Amino acid sequence: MAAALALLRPLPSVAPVRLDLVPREFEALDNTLSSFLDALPDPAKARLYPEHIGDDLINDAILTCAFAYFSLAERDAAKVAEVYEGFTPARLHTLGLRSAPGEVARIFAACAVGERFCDQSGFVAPLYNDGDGMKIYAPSHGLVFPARRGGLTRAWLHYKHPADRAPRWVSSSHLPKGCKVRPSIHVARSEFAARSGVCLLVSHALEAEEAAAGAFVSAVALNGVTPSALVSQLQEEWPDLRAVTISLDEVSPYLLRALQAADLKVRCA
Amino acid sequence: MSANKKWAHVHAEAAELAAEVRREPQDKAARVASLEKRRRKQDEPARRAYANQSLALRLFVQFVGYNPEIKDTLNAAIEASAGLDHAITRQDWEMGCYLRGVSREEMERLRALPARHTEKSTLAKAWKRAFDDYQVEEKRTGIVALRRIPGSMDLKTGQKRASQIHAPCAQDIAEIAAAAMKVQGKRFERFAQAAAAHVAILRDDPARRAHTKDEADEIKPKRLQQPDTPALLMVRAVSKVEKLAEGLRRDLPPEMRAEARAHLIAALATLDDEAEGVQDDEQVAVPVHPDLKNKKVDKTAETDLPADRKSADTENAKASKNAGSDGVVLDKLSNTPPQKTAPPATYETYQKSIKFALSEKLRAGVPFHVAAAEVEEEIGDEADWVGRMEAYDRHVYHACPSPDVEPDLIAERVYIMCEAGDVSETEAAQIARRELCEVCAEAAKIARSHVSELEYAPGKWM
Repeated sequence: MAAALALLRPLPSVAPVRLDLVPREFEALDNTLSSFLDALPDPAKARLYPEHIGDDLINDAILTCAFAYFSLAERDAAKVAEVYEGFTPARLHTLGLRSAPGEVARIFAACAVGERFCDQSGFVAPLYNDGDGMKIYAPSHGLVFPARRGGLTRAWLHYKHPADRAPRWVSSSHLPKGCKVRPSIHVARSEFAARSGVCLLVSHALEAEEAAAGAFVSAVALNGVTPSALVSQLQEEWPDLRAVTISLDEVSPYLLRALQAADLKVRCA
Repeated sequence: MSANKKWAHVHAEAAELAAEVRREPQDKAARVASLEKRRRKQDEPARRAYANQSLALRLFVQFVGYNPEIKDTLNAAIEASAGLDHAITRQDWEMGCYLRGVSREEMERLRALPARHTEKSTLAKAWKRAFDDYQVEEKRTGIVALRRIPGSMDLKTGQKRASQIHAPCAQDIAEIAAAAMKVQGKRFERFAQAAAAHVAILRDDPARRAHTKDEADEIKPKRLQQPDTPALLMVRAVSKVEKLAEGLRRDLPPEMRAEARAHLIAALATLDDEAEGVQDDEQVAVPVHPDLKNKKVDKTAETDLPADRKSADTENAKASKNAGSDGVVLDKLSNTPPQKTAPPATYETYQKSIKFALSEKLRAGVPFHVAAAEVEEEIGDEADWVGRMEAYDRHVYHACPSPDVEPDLIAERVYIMCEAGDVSETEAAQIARRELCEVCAEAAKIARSHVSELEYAPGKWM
């Protein structure tokens, strides 16, 4: 009974303890913390939607999700390995090379994308909606390779055959509720240019992968983007980039001028 | 180093370049500055659009929303991202109430009054007058943010329709505010952010709500509460000059050209007024200084033109003087003492010296555009933006002289060319005219480059 009464009795009020002084052993930590907090962006200038996931991220997730349903045929891998040195089929598969998907693979991929992201047609390039649900457009033959920049898949490139030196973008702009491609450069082994400030510019994505393989250099595939887009994408990728080695079949004067205007040192290999 | 023989030489080249780059000193500040410049150049159209739209919003808020309803109005403007233009159907006296900050109870009382009551008509008058001023502002800036459809009477049913206020800018603002959520909207994100911040400021600022005046008649022409910054003024000037240059290039009939030029001059005069903080309606047309007019007469007298050409010239000048009301204004101005209407002394001397330098150069046989460029260079040595703006204004004054000065310049140029004996008179006239157009275009280009150099950060000038 007494115990029950004791429970009913109000608890003695305890004054909240305030630690005004930082213990000496934590002073250094406190300084670090405050400097860290100072370095944080000003809340007034913070992003409008702080937890807003960007379109690039969503597009990457959609394209990657769809790619999981595509496969790389062994004969295709072998042909590519003949053209580009130093690649094994497994390596090519890891890089993201796929054979053009069949009808079934496309349906599976569309279902998976639809289930996870709902109808995204009109927002990402290979998706479209012809009134019969969202679908994925893909070429019927050849190879498909994802162009990656900043670690994200931006769009797909279609190689008609392994030795194709002018791959096309996989677009769905010609289809109902399709979307135009946003052309992007392809960056292979980005980490080297971040250190050295120099990158290698080549024509297309597979070539870039080949050039970067086994060397301490970052390679960028032009993929037919415009000079100004190239410059802005390069600057987005590596703000400290200082020089570019160009290894293209044909170097356009506009390209050179754009690179030089962006204070980049240019050297043709 | 390279496992790949095909690429060995390329890798070697890249490594060499990397070593070379590493040896060179890196000027990080300059690099960041150039990157910033480039980014700004890329975002220029968006920034300009944003500047226009935020100006529109400012005008919109000033003339439509100031009281509790502002929240609804703005919410309608901002949140209805896929709707029609925002429209308000209200009677003019109601708008007058909003304009004067009348309370809701007071409004109810007024509503009970008969339609033709004096209080109501005073309010309506105040609103209409304010809106007229606003439309002048719209015309001046070239940004139409608000339109008023006057109330009408349906003759069949005998019903009155209240006047309507349309806000075409609402859609744009809403789109900008929602741009971050759209696909490919990343580029506009910071503009959307700025727009949101701006709206927040407008909503919270209590000073904006008070447009109250005791007498409706005392309502002066409305001006923007916040002073216009040089950047904004420059944007307006550029659009004006571009329009003018476009008009000249299109080979408009002479009356229209004269009209366009008069518009420009009026706009520039207003611009000067604003820059100097003067609010005087009489100063709208100050294009030609009286001394200059005298000088013009002297010039015609001095140059020994053939008799027929001289007479044609004076006729031209007369015609252009009598053509529109501008001529009358100019005559009036020339009669009034220069202290009242003329710009300050420095400005005046500046302008005069430039005119003089230009005419000297023309006499020496220098082509018009070369002379104008040289004069521009001579006067354009001021480093700060005020100087640049002024220099630009002077330049425009030269490039597009007033309607009654231009025939004179053309005549002079034609005369010089004919004297040289290379071309016929018609060809010379054509060349002279073209030169004038080129100078106009050049002026627009220079102005544009100035604008791109100026700071556009909305927080700074809003």
